[in-house]
Amino acid sequence: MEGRDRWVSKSIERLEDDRLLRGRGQFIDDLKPFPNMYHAAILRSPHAHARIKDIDVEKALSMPEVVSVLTGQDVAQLSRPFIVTGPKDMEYYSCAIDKVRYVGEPVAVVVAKDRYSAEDAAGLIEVEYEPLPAVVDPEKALLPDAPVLHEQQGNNLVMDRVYTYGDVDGAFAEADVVVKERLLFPKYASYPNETYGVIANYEEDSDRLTAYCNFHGPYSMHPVMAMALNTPANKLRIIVPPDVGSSFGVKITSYPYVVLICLAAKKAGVPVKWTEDRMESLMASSSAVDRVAYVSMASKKDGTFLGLDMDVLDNVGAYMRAPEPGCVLRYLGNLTGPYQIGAARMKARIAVTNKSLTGPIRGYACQHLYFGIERVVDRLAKELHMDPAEIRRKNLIMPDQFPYKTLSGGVYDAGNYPAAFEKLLEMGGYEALLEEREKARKEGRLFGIGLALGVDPSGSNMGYMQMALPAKARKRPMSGSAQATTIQIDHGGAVTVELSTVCHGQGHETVVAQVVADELGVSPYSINVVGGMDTSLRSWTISTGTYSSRFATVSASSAALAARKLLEKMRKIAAHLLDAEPEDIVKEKESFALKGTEKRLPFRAIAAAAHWDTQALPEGMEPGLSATYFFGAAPATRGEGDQINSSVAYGFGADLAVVEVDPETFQVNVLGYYSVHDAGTILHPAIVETQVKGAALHGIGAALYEELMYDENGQFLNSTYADYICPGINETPKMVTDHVETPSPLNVLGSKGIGEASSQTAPVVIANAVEDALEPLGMKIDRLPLSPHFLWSLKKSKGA
Amino acid sequence: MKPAPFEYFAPTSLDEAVTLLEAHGEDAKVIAGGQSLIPLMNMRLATPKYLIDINKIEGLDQIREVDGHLEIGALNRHYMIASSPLIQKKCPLLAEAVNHVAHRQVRYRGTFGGSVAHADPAAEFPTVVTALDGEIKLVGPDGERWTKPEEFFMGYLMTTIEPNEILTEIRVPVTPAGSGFSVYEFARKENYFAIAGAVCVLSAEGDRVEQLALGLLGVSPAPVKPREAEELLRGHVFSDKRVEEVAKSVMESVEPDSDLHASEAYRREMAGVVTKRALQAAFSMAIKGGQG
Amino acid sequence: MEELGNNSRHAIQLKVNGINYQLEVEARRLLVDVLRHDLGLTGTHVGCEQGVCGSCTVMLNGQAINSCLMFAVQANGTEIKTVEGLAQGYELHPLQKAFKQQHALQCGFCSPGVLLNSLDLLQKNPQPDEAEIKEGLSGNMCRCGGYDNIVKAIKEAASELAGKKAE
Repeated sequence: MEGRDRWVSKSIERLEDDRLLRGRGQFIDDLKPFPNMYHAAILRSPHAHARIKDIDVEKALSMPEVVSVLTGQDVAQLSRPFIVTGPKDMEYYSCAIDKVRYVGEPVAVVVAKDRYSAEDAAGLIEVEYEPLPAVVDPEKALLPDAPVLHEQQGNNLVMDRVYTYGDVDGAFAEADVVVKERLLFPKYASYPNETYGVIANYEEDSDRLTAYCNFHGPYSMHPVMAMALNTPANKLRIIVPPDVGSSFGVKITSYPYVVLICLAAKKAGVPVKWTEDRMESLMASSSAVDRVAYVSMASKKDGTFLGLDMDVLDNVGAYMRAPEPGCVLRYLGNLTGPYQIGAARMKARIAVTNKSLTGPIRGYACQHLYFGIERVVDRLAKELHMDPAEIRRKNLIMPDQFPYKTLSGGVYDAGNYPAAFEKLLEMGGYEALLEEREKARKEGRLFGIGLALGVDPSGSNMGYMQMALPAKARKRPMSGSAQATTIQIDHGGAVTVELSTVCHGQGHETVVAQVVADELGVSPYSINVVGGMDTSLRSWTISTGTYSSRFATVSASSAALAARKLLEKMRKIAAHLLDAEPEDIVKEKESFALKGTEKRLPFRAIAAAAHWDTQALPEGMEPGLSATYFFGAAPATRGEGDQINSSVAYGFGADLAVVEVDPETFQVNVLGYYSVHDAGTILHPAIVETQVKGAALHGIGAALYEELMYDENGQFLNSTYADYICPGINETPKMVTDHVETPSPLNVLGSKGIGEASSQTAPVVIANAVEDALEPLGMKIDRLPLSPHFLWSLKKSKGA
Repeated sequence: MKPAPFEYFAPTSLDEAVTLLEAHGEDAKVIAGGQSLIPLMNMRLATPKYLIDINKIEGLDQIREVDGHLEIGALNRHYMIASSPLIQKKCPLLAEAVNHVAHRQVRYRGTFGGSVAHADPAAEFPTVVTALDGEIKLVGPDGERWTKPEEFFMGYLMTTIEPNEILTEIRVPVTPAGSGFSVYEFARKENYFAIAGAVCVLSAEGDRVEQLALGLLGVSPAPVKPREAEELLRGHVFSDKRVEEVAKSVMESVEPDSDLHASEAYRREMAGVVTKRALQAAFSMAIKGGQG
Repeated sequence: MEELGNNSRHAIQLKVNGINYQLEVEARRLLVDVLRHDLGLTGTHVGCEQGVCGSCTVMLNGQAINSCLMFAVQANGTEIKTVEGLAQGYELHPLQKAFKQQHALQCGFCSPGVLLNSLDLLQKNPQPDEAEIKEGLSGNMCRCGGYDNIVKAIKEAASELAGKKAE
């Protein structure tokens, strides 16, 4: 393809924007796919831990607006527990059966004429509970006298594995310096503005369930849902509208609610719609784990890292729900981040407690990992009296080492970490900031600078799930990360592209149009891109969807390759019509030409032939012009032992934060946030820039504002936005971003994911900056969020 | 989150409204702006069976100056308080307070009277009215009565308003010309529920503080007017030392709560910090001759 | 369990985007729900039902308000503008054009609310500076892309509207 008139890498106006700005978007709650829809409200547990002695639904059923009530008994009869990799003696259903294990757990579903009446009826259901003692702290949950959530399990430890790479003990033994920190990471989530929604319908005659929802993958959850529903997978039709109001991973775990509402529809015998409200979302949708981690780094006295040792305890809430234990597996391939470290170990334990359930959020597990690594790197720098930039620079993987195989089986495809880091330091004015800090300290101001570097993994390898089990316990091999795109060129040469990426705000329609436009030589605005998803109509596989920032890594290339498949066919048709060999046909902007002659055929003529004059096609060739390409990313290989290339590609992010802390209130003011990323070829600069800024803001939320809080008895404390605080426009600091582009050799576009970016490094960079700011007070930061009250208490306890 | 069912009334006169309240007693609630009430109703934390909407009642949105006081009708929306030339001139602290109330959308609907009647100790208006020693007018079946803030505010979301009464008007004294004023709030997020806040209006003769009104929000179950603390500064020369003493006295006079965002000890200390900052800002303004 | 009260139903009149509607609604129906489900104007979104996120912002009698914090019955006799009423036929409003040009949206869920609030801001303050824009938008939450481009878009729309006025 010629280099002129390229659409990719330009910030073109988005195809999606018109309808979204006119209010013509189709979000799940806007849809009325069935004429006689009824509405559901979920009755939820007010207790953190209790036996359900009795449920009396008589009063609810007596309301004329109510059609039916689904209870746990129905769910136990009609469905099976969800599959999860790991604990054998833990049963997780979409509704509580004989016990509730977290505040907000569904207990019953009312189906009524409208949502208002359904909530009235839910309030009339009488549940007799026998409260049980609760535990919310993961360390306390593992004590011998802790309340046990799953009796069959016997204790609250649902996973206990050690991943060892290299000679860790040896590395620590020969080290000049060892730093060890106990670090806590809070339970928080990157909530989207749009909540979960499900519209389910059961057709008895064909035993088919149709569920409209805003579930965007991975579609490995499709068999999980089908098995839970006792439905053959091909009879569970999942349809997602073209517009989803963002997700940041939170909607990945909407699948249990898809099952729950399907069951409600099955029982009620009518189509049922459920829209999650904000309280439900904060209380019982999803979040990241809270983690207790002991992290140690061994190093030579010149700052060379020798070994990394981590002991992490993650709290997944009341049940381990797939895709957990991704909280400890997602980053296996990039366990050692951007550094050359000779040995690494992670002891990973997972506990259940009486809190809401966890799953992927923006950054999924990498913010937890980098909080550990980048905190001990700073600690080491202090011990060795080295500049925090210097110690990092010293240990970075160098450009000539790519592709770089990590200790844990990751294969970093491409990157230039030192260049990106230098760019960051220059952009932020690091040297000038050091001087400013000097000056500020003399004036008694609490001014601090923080750095954080991270490898940004994109395109999760389905094989990483297996790593939850020791090698001998793995039943069947798993691997892969694939995505399909279907392109049709019609009788007049017009192009339609069918996606199954299940976009939720990232502009896939636009970027795919750019990609296909470049391949076919048409305008992106002439292409009809069809978003949304339909498991009965689109081409998909179990890794289908958008999660782990895989669009740029896997999905975009599947569109390019589908286009190339069609071009190949058109070339053959042109050759046949021009009485030549396909190798002698050259694609020009709008035609196919015979090399060295004036003979050419317009793109439209080839298309017309394929449809209108099938006799003109080469012998044996299928009529029409339609191609589906399933791009399977080669690096998504099977794991070997505990080594796995957990992601298809790896980007890089370098962040710098400048903060000032009010010496009386201890409020943290982020004066500036700088970020340089390497995500390979940038497909649409404006979209990418907003992604990076949005992701950084989520991370800043985790650092300073957001924590899902429970009291000792498991009562959930911040169920509204009044108490769960998300940074708004006035809390958003000045952000400056830039890029280094080291194209990835792994796909035809050279692009990698950027959707999570600084959500992985922002929490720790703020922590590093704040600790630096509080240096004159000698305070150490070991947890988040850094609320003013927390910092003030820390100072008080230090002074005591 | 949908509200529980209720019967809705939109009376067009105060008499009609009061009659409805008499008839339905504890099961009825008055709604004006609804910006505090509707969130509670959506969460079903408030489930009145009868909702008496007073927005159609005429004559409750006046702003008048009478005898050295401003008489402000309860149905004045927040934005009207902020944009009223009379209030800007004669009680600038009140206008300034609006800048700290929630955000644009809420300020168009929320009302002055509604905010005072709702009695959230972290809200601005109850504390401003308390600091200024204002007066609150209540109308019931037996006629009208006036009450003072320290009698009116009982605790968190609790007032002495009877189930059959409606808050119709608030009187505040006119602020002397050339006064400085300040609302200093400390919250997790801009204009969010304050952890601690101080409101202050003072007049100065040179660097001597003549008149002073101080109020604290968010640090006690009810708005606080720290009279002893005021005494430490009123009539004295403004100095850092004095301000420290005032702050210390304020800290001793508040009864803060512990919650998700702050402990009692932290709130107590912040009460001192916001007092200092509010006083300093108000004084700076006063010595420049009042607002620019 | 407390007994539920009675629902009262009311005949109301709403003028929305220039069209008169006669409706009968239960008193407790929120204005946003009536707009979305009774009138089919699904451009206005529900994000929190607490008046914090601003997704439900509409113009009512010329003022930007949270339609989740008003009962439809309270809006009887009012004139409402929703996002569907911004464009003139196919011609986008300068705010919509600017949002598109400045890439001020990603998922678009918050956008209708941001647009209506911005419209109100520009009607009351035609040339706001950055601080005024930020203050004005404190009641709108965007979780996707940060706010920089939104601010840029509002400034651009302000210029265009000012230019148009001058004509």
